[in-house]
Amino acid sequence: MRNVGWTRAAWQSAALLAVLLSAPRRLHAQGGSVAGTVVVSGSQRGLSGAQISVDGQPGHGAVTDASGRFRIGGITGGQVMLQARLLGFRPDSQSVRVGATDVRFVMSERALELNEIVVTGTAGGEQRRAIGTSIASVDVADVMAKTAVPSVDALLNGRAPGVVVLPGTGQIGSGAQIRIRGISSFSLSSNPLIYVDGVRVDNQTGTGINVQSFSSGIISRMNDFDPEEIESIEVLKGPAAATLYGTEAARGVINIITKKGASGATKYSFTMKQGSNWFMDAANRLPTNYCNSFTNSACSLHPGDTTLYSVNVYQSENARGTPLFRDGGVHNYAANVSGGSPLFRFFASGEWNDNQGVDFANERIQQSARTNLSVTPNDKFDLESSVGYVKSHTTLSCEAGCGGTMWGSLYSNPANTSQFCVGSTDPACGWGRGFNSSPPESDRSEQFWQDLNRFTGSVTLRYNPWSWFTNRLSIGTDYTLEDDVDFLPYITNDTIAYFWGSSFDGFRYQNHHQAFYNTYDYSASANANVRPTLTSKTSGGIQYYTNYNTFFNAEGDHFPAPGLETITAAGTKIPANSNNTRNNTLGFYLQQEFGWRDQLFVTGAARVDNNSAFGNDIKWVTYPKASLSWVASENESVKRLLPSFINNLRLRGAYGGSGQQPAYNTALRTLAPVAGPNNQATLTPSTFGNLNLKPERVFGTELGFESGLFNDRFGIDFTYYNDVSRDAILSRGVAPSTGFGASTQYFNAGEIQKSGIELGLKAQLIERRTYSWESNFNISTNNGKIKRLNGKDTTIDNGSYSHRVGYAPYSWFSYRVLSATYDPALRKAINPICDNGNGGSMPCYNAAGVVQAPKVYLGRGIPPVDGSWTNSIRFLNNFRVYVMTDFATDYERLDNNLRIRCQIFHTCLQYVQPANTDPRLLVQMQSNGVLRDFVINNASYAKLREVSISYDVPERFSSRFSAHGVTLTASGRNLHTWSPYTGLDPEMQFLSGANPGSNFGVDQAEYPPLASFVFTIRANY
Amino acid sequence: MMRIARIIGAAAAVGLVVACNTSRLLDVNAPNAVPVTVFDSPGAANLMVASAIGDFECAFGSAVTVEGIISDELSDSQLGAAAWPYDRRDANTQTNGIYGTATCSSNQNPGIYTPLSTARFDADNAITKLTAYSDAELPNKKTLLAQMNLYSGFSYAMLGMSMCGAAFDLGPTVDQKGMFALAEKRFTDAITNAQAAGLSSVLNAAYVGRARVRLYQGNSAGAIADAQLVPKGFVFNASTDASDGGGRRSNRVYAATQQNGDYTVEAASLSLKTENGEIDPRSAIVTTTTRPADSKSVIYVPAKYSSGPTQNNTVGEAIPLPIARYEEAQLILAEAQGGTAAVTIINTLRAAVPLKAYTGPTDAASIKNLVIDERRRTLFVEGLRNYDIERFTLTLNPAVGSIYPRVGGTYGTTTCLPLPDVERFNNPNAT
Repeated sequence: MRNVGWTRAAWQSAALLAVLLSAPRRLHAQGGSVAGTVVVSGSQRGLSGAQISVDGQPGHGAVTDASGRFRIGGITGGQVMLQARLLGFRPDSQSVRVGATDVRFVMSERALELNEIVVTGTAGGEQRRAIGTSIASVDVADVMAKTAVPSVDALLNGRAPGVVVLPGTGQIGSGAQIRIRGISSFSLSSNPLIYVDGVRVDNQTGTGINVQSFSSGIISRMNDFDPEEIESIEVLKGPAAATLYGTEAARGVINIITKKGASGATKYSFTMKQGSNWFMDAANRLPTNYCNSFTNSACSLHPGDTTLYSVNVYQSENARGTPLFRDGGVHNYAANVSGGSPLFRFFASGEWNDNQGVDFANERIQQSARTNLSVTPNDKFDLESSVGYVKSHTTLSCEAGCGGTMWGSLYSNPANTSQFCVGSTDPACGWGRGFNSSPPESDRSEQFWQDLNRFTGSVTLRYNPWSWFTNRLSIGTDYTLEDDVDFLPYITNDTIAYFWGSSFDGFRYQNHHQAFYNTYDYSASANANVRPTLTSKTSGGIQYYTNYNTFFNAEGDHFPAPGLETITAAGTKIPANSNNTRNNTLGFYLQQEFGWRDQLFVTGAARVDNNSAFGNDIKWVTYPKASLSWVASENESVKRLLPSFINNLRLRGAYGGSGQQPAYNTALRTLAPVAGPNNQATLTPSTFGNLNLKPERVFGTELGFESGLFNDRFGIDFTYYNDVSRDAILSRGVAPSTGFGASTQYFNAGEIQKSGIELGLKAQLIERRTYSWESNFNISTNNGKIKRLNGKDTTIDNGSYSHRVGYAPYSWFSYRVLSATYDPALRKAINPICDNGNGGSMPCYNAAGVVQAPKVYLGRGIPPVDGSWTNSIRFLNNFRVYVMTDFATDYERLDNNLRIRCQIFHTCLQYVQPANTDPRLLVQMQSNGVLRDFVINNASYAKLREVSISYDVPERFSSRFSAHGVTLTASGRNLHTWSPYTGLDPEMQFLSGANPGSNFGVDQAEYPPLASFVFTIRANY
Repeated sequence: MMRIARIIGAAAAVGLVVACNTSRLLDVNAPNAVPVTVFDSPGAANLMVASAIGDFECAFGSAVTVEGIISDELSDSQLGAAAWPYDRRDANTQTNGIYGTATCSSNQNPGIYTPLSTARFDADNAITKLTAYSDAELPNKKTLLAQMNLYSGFSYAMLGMSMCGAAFDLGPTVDQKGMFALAEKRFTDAITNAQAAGLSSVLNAAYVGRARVRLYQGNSAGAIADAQLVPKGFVFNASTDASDGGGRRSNRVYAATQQNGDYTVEAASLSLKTENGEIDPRSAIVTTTTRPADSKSVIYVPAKYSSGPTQNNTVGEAIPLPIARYEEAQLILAEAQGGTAAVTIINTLRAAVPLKAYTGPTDAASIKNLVIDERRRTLFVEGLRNYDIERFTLTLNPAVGSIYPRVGGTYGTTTCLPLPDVERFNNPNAT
């Protein structure tokens, strides 16, 4: 009952609010001065660094502190006009009474800000106006002030055009696959590179115990970082933008910038979130399953019994008082302190999060802390340190092919209910209560967890010996220690023990994984004025990245007695395994940028890289880059031609390359040690290798423009891109006749082209002192296509998906059944007719009963179109409503739940009552899995992803208790889905780690993305 | 501009210095594998041969299990559907299934084509390398060659008994008769080298193997000649042990049945009897206390591979699997000779059990059926039954089209397995 969690959350929130408001009061400023705050429209978050000036009284002004507060003394007169200005925001002014202490500026972001600095890999960053590529920025602090976002990948979802978030499962602790502008490799990782404050960090997805059999673990390292400690995220998309990041950057770069202290009064901030996660509409999403004696001989109470039996375990378990799912609690607490002086600034934060999933076993308890320090002893030198620590314990449950509650209930079978136990000698008969194999209490005996300790730290030194020369040295490390455990205790309950078969006496598998990512990055930039109107910026740098992983795993089976838990205590020890992997990258870049009148920027660059995977022959790979950016609206002659409502227009274009390489030693043919006869260690064929393997190289062109309209109240950001991945690497099976059939081989399979557009629209539709309406709309397309496959190949099949020239990678291909005939005597559909691939038809099978029809295109595996629409409405001055809807279209999922019910376990109504079923579907269900186009279905969707309503407690109340701002927010997430998809959820799929595996795009018994409600109190002091 | 030039120059200089010594910065190692060239010396010959034998023994156990599942010896008792095409006999319609890709150490999804292909490659690769060494370089060359030809021969034979077609070293598809011919050549080479090296066990195993494939090729005289040379009591086993916790070294049939409960003895083979109604102890089964993977089945295990009613992995994993033995040679003789000679051979084998003698008719059809039935019981779950079903075109049991009892679906017609997709897609010469 989720309302219980809701009520508890409300009480806890109220209690915290009372504590916060009981803080001591402070004195207020008196006459001859004015004081107030500057907040951002929408989130009402305090803005630091805003300049406040008094008209007609030069020398009187102030800069807002970290909380957005300001105070100006020595003002003469009774009424003055104040002006507020801040980079990135439209200026504001208001007439105030001298002596007022509650002045409030609400500043709106400019739809287009060309002067902001973004991270591109060069020392000191670059002004956006000089960059020829599109860079998506997410103002995390602002987003978090508006709504409750649980993870970093959820922060990216819908907020960065071209960034596709593929969540896969709704288990707490899981993380999505992130794909930037689709997939440009067949088989290499498509996970973008992630940097935190300039340091490359572990970007693995699918870590932890494999709880999705046929796939991978589900925990993403990106989500270790708490959104509460992040200031912003910038995404470099495509090879042209990421050239300076070199090898591996072809899949995009995500820069996470954590919060820093600002000089000014010390600011304290407290956040508490209480809420609940639940399985939305489970009653209507979990199916009823059927059987009769025609399909299952066990489904009969007496000879000749042809009754249709059914079971819906969701309903039956609820009626029994043992519901399948719970409402998982959300309990998050965060605090931070920041401030400092021009010499020394600090930010320190701590978070404690306890989030539960709907499965009784699923929970993540995480503690994290961060300390960021900045020292600026003089204007030539500054030093920044960024130190973060995360400790978490994540418990998971089996799902997908692994079993568990979802598996047991989706594939429930009435034949497993107790009514069929009369006369049965099966000792477990009826105990399953209709679940496919075992009841949930049996599944829950097995425990999966990951213990994590992670340290991410960096030191950045900037030295500017001359005004024209900037040096930056960043050194950092990201260390992750994972302990992954799969543990089944010795089961003493005879009923449950029966379902565990020979494993009833327990086992423990443990994997100890350490990952080290080290970054050494030196960059320098030199600026020069070549002519009065021509500037030059020369940048160069050296980067050295090392990645080292160690793995140690062991297993013990069969505990001799209950209570034993360690591998040492197990009766059978499986031989332990250990391994380590290393991969190092060394690269240099040189970039030359010329600027003309600060309007036209031409940039050329080259990146040269080498990597351990390139082999012993030093093969330096060069990636070029060229870009052009023209702020046309600042050119007087152009400006005259532009309509007056266009106040900013920038045109940009870029060409560049980046790349990625396979893991070390994939080129070599190797043997691996195994146990042999007579206790002798022997060798067996391991990797087939490919001595001709080359790294993938991706080259891209992008063109676009940004424009600010109507005094920057409206903004357009448009990009067209066209990337070509040459020598795209594919992992394919090795013909067993080589002797290396157990391995896969990487080879340069061909060329992939992907092109598309990204369009972002921003609008400040209404802006008034007490109400406002902001609206953002993003849409992106990705038209991936395989241009060439090497050799004789035009088709590479892998189960239900294929790589074929002319189609996007990972497209669905299967036999398409057009018709069949129902034979009532046989209760079968016969004579299936299939699509012949040329618009005609042909019998699906030949006379020998083997399929002869060709596989035909059935759709794409990755959405080619996605986007979001966000609205933020403020009313009655202090209330805000925030709504984000996102969507993805034109792609298909393989609904394996349908396939398993209808084709494997034969419990769907269509199979059990064939006379009432479309023969075209029936013939597939009766084909023992050969024909299956009926399970590849349109998964387009739109989701009501985020809804929140916030109330800013008026300062006249909060200030009584010294709080400078208290905000109450109620947020809902994943509240509704519009989709033609008939499966459980269009976003569900096997996660398959970093690579699209053989079960890519398959929806099978995963937990759907959970709905949640979270109540947040945010207080600033 | 001079400043820029100086900076570029300095950066280039730094880059040059670092680049000159980058190999140290980029050097990494792969500590869990060695290049295949490790076998390229006479000093590694013994390791190479032991490795090939280990791969064969793992592959053989897995193949015996798979052949048992496809035939009427074993049945599935798990919920995972990947291996059902074996038991349901529709693997021939699902050429992307596990029979083409699974390895030898999985209990749930035992492989056959890949592990046997690996074993075949290992042995043939070793033969090539060993042949190139002189006797001086490798004093035990003939011993090793005899062994490798023997294991290569059994690899080809097992592939021929299970696969409708197979490919070798990325070559074209070879049919069953072609595989038996290749096996015969290897057995002949094994015999030659074993005789030279004085290796009686390899020699006798090669006689059994060659007799088998000669029989399969219709060369009865050749089969008789070889089978007659096999001494009474001879058995050549795949060695097994309990060293890796049910992994590749274990008795795969025991691991798949009694240890893990994924498979059980098929109902049709639970109490195999002679024509006299006597239960044959050679195909006896044990009703175990093993909990089945599907929580429903009862796990029956061939007595010869069982640790008794109660699971004892130390014992069960280490039960050896016979690759070739005297009884098979005798039944080859019986089949090839037929008539009263066959009856005499079979009754001699029965007397040793003991079982009552056969006293029925001795016409060709009756003797053929007697031999088939005797082979089924005598060589129970030794990897030979499925090819007997195929070569004698026996009626499939359960019947084709009947409901597959796991959860529906119907039984198919698989006896031999077609060339799998993983070979067809990745071997440019395969058809």
